Amino acid sequence: MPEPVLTVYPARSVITMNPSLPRAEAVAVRGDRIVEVGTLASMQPWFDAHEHIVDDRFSSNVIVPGFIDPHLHPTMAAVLLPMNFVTATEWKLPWGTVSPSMTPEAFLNRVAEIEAAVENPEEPVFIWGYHQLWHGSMSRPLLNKINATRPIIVWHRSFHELYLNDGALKFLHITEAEVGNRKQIDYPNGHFFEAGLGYAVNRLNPTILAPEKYAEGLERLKQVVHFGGHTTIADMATGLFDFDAEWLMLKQVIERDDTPFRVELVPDAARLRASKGSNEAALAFAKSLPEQNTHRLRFSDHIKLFADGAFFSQLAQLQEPGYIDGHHGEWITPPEKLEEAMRIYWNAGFKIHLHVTGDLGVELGLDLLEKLQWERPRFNHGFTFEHFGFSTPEQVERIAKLGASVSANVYYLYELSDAYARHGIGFERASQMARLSACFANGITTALHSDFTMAPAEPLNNAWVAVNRINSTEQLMGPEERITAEQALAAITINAARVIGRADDIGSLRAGKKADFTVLRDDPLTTDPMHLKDIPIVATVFEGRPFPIERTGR
Amino acid sequence: MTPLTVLGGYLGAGKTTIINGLLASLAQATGNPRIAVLINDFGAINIDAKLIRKHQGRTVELTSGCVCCDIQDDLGSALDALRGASFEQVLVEASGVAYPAKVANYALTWPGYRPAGILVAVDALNVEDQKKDKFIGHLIDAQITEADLLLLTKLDQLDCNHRQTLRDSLPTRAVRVDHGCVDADILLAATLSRPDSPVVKDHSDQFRTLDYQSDRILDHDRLLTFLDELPEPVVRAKGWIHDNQGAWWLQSVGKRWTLEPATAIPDGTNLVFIALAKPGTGAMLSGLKHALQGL
Ligand SMILES: [Zn+2]
Ligand SMILES: [Zn+2]
Repeated sequence: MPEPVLTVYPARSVITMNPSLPRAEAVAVRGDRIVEVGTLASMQPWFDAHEHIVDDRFSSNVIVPGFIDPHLHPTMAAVLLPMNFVTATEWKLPWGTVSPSMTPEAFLNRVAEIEAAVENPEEPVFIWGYHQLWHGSMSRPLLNKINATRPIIVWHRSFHELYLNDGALKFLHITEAEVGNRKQIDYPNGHFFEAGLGYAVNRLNPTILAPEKYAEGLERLKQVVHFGGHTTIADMATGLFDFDAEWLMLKQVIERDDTPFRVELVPDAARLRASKGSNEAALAFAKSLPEQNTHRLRFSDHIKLFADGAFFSQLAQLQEPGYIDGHHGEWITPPEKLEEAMRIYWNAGFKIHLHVTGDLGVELGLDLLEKLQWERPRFNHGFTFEHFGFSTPEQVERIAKLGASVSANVYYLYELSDAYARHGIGFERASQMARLSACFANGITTALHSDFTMAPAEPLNNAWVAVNRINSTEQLMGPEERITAEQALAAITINAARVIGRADDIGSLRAGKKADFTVLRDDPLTTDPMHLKDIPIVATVFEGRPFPIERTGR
Repeated sequence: MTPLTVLGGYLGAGKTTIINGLLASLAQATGNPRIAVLINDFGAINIDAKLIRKHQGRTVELTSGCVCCDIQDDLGSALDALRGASFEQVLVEASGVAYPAKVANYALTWPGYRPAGILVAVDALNVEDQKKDKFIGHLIDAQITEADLLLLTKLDQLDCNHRQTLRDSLPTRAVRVDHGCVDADILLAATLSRPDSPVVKDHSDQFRTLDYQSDRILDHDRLLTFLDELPEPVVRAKGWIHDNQGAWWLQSVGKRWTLEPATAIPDGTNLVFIALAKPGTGAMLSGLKHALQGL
């Protein structure tokens, strides 16, 4: 067989994220790998020895390493994406940009527009993104005014409550006789919350989790991931709903030739323990998982554990002085049980990813990590604090000293810092969510993630938040914690690769690495920082194959 | 409506032992009441399967739902599945890190269920340390506050002078539970839901009981005030009542009481009160009897 031809991509500039050669003019690729990053002149020895073609489709663009989102949830995304987004913040989706609906009227008008466009009068319409802060009060009568017979289901942006119109109540066989006088269900307003939400959701599940819906959702996720410029993502809790079903569907939908990215799979230790009966059995299963790896789907030695509660629900566990209203967060895993599981995976050499949202969650993670380091020291152990909502400067130093990494959801700052300053924890701590500059100053490997669907799966948007720290109400929050554009780019490429244990192969552009690029219209390191999120993404290249990105616009 | 009792408390407080004790105690009860036990996923599954079968009961293992959204609701699904299966009692073991009142809300939300009390197991030996722990201190306080009735375990391992300090520090009614020796008749609402159920006379030296029978029709408003003001040593009250607004089943566990409209019950009023035996309990029960006569 003849050697594959070299393909050379000249660019306006190549940002490599390789500190030994930060900038270049072209990348030469053979098959799925980079053979050289440099200039056309420097590559001459390759050209002399091998046939090559120059593909100049990106010659007026900037090539950066393929973006990596080290923490999102394909399963949750697959549930959400078939729904219609009507949100207070902008969401760029492959099938159109969702422009913000900032008032009650705008919200209802948009719902009415969406409803009117659906032909079959019986087809349920799912809306996601309602938030009382912008959209005022919601109710069954308001939705009935749009259409009382077609089922209309409106989800709160947090996913923790929903509203149903008459048609939806009928569709789900929920009657006044049954729930009219029950708590946490406001029947006249069609409002289901807390335990009441579970009641409605159990009725909705056959519809929203139907295999064909789920497959449709995963197809949409594929588009979203490509559209955001990613070439690698990590599923940071495989088995969240049902391990076997998720794995089967991922193989069917993702392991296909038209998928321009790979997925690192990190199993959810708690779910595994529940299904296998013990931590030991779960560990044995986790160790066996790499045998099932396919080309794009890969298990390794990473595991997900959970500490404290959801950030969006103000269930993060806080140190003093806590929440303004005096309520307390929640532990997802009892601290002793977390310690048990952590010890088992630590001693087995696994890289532990710990979900922490509040500074007390971080504190617990640090105490346990310190204990395990004392019992059985490990270097390069890959322990990663996931989300990293609230923290203290002293904790950042401890993270550095214990050799851990941070994978942050910086979008919290954008979407929630104003509300949390006013209604949650006060300005000082709210403005210091995602304490990122301190992480870089302490030499911590720091990455950014979307936790999609908690934040848009748009690495450039996350980079924009981290660099500017301007929130959704246009306030500057914690300017000392702004990071540079270069640090932000590292956080969505090489550092993200480190966090998921693949830095040898991806995350920067150098000879020998996978030929994964993201191709941008503008240079993210020299452009006005306020423009970062709006840089058009022209294409991605996944393992040497270009995948153009079409912009449709609504 | 099926009574739903929540059993909360932190890890190591002895919830599993208590469940096994309750099942063993139910086995002695007349009519062999059917009970469903829902178990949380952090606990080791040590529930005695034979005991469960004896009650034609069912255990359902609950896993913690998805943390970021609420697409999955195991407890809700279990309650849906149990509906219509004619259980006389559902017992939900809350996870060690759960706020039990939140779990008890399911009984208010889910059709077909009514709340029958929040029991919280407290590890007498370790609770003082737990309350000071920086990670779980607030949680322990909240669990104790939310309880209708506290179940004190490991009290026998605590030296004598600490026992009183502990009792003084606890806000609500607390029952001693040694090695899972518990009486379903005291903790669960199910055992006296039929008029033909016998009234247990004496439970152990830990309790004193008061029986009250009358043919008089009671005054409803005065009855409600009486129930609100039941003195703290009373940990359980149950029976049937005829008053000027109808016929009722009374169930109280700890500080929570419910009156449910009743049909097919004998005439008159027949109540039993179970109180912790403490100095002064005898006088308190005589006072109760006097108060009942004035209703
Ligand atoms: Zn998480
Ligand atoms: Zn997540």
